[in-house]
Amino acid sequence: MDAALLAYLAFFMSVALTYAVMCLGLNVQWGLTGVFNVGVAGFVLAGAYTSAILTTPPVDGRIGGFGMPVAVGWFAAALVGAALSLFVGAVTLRLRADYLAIATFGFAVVMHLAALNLEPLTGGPFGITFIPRPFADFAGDQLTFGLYNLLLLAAATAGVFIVLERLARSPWGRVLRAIREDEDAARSLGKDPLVFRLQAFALGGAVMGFAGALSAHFIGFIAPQNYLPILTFQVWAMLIVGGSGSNVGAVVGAIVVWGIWAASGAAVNALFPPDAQARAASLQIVLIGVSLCLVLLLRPRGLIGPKGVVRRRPSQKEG
Amino acid sequence: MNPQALVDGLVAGSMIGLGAIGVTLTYAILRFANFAHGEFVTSGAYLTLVMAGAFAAVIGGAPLLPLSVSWALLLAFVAGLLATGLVAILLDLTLFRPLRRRGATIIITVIASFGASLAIRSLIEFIFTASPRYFSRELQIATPIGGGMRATPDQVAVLIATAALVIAVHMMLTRTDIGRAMRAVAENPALARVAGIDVERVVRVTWLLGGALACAGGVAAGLLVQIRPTMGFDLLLPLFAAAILGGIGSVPGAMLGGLLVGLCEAMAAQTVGAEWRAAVSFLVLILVLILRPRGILGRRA
Amino acid sequence: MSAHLAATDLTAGYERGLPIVRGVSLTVSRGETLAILGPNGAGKSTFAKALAGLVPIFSGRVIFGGDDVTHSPAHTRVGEGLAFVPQTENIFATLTIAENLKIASTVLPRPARKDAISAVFERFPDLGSRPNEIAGRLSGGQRQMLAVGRALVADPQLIILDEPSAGLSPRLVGEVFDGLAAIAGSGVTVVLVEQNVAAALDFAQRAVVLAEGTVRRDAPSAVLRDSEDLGALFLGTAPEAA
Repeated sequence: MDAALLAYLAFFMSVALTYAVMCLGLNVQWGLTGVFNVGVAGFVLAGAYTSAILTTPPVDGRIGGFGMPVAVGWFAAALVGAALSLFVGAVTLRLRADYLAIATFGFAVVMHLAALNLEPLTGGPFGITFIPRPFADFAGDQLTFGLYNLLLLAAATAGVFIVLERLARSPWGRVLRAIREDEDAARSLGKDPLVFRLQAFALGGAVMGFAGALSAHFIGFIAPQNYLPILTFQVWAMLIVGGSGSNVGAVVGAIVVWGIWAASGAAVNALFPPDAQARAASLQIVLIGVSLCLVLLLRPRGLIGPKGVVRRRPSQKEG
Repeated sequence: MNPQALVDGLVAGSMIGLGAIGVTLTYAILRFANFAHGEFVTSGAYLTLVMAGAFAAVIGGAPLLPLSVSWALLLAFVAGLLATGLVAILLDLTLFRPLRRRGATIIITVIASFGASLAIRSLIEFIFTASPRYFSRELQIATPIGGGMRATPDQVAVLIATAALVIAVHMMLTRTDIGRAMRAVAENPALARVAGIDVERVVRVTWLLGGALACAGGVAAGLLVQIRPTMGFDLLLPLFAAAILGGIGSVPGAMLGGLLVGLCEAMAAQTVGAEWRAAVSFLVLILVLILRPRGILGRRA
Repeated sequence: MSAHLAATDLTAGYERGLPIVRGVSLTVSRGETLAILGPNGAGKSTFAKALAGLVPIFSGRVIFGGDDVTHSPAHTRVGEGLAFVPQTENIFATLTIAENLKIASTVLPRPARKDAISAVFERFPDLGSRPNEIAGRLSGGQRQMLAVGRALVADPQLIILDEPSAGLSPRLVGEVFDGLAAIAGSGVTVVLVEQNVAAALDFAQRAVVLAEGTVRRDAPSAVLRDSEDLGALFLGTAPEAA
């Protein structure tokens, strides 16, 4: 296989894995707890900007640029993701499920607005450049650089995956599942569903923030337009295609949907003349939107979802 | 504080209120937050635009001074109300009704509405491109209306038309058989069925009404601002904030919520800066959810 | 007497694979009063809701007035003369008394609606004296009146009531059963799901005992009242027999 193709494959898989981590974060919230987050892009954005501000070299006229190590940025990104989730969750988790959806949607809008308008901190519409990339010393050699980064991202994804799997099997994870199955029963055992939901929501937010930092350092620059609602939608599509409730499904769904997305993007580039590509790209989004609805209608358990995760709604009282 | 913010806020609030009524009705009767509702606003504006062009070719498009509106546009607006209502019914038939039949959870339905929103918005962008459109190129002069405030004739017309529409919808809900049936289904669908109400018919009327009012909001926005593929989606957060602020299920509440959100936005635009306008709805939303989740005119859930 | 309502080998429940009513067959004659009794969780309520069209029927048939209504939607059954009064949440609490009745009257032809509502107000003067009161403010007994009145507005030939005496004081229970006797006296077939066995047997001509979703007894009330194993039936220890 020639080196350029291999380098592209490494790039493709690396991007897919950053999505996979976002998807894992969403799976903690949705798959495990049934909490509905429509603001994925906002939490990812928060993580990306946090890490970028901490790790970039100082720039005149911009607050931040502390030149810290990448690992510190990653850690801070997760922390900020968790803190913001705690705030949004504390306000909405005790209310109806779709109030949380609306609030997280609004949160993402505000985060995007902040990135756009807090120019001294975020660089405004142009974003932040020169974010340190791991293995930058190898940047001259596309293939080596790509493979090393892929390895790093694979290790990070695996780390998140293992931690989440262990948590899901821990007593804490069992309580979460119990709450999802039958909230009243869990409550009668002295478990406050609100506290557990909030913890899971914060954990998911931390993972999303971490994913934002991973992707920011991989690409090397960020801008507000990378964090539009379409990102939230992509991550949801990945989780639903993969089948929610399963971490394996989340990772596989991310790779499959990113593959379809990239392939359809390439098809648009190949099939349409340059001046028609912007229009054709919107047709691409139409198709993806329709496909998601079709999956929800025809394969509600996901294309590759685990068997036996259909949850019964609590049946009605019999008199 | 500039008194002009009052006019700007009320005008923006009218558009938000019209959309929020649809959100609150679908939420109360179908029991989910429809993320595609903003796309009804956009669809309404574009459908009216297309039909206004067609009608103008037949009957001419001279404006009815002092408004910038022509007979062709008025005619197209009436047709647009119906057409947008039908778009909403079509979306229900193809997407939400099958999910309802299957007993899908609220959240699955919300995700589906999210997908539908994206598909419709992108389809509109594909057909009409992202560049803004206008109903009319007529320039309107804002004339003093007292108290240091100015308004264009179009703005005054929008305010009056909104008030008329809201009163009509309120009368329909309180005085007619179908309105009573809608309130009955909102409270208790199972009892509504044994009381002889055809719930699916009520659902269709709800979509028709919600779509039509969204179209009115979209046409108002197109008349006073511009028509863009993202106009409805950008309005979505204010719509939700207004519906929840007013109290889910309450039509007067949704209108009041819309006007309040519009006024807050206008005041924020003057004090903090127009670029933060969109954050106002989020702030309002969070405050309502913390202080009074059932809203101003809502009943206890 | 001809069969007014007949269920044949009816299986019904909220989820396929988990039937709550399992193979129930029974017939109600025109003008008859029938009580459906049984222990908690016997499937009485689910059976009544299945007859009303509120619970999915998996197999078997429901014949009403000679027509197969097994899969017809609940709202069309009302128009055909089959009324149902749920046990709880049986009025629209956010609507006024008059609005509750107006909604129910829409199954009638337009000219007949006003008279039908006036007839209910005459039957229950307590309601007629304040038609614009919000129904949620009514007392327990008045709510029950409104619930029954709401069913009667549609001019039913057969009315199914799910535990109309639940939660009421003994005096009000007496009033409810007096009211039901008057309804039955006007020629309406009455099917009553009840926990209050004594009152139900006093009221109904015939009674059916359900347990675990199946029919355990189907006999005239007088026979059941004297039956020695009635208590055992309620504890679910009696042998299966018909």
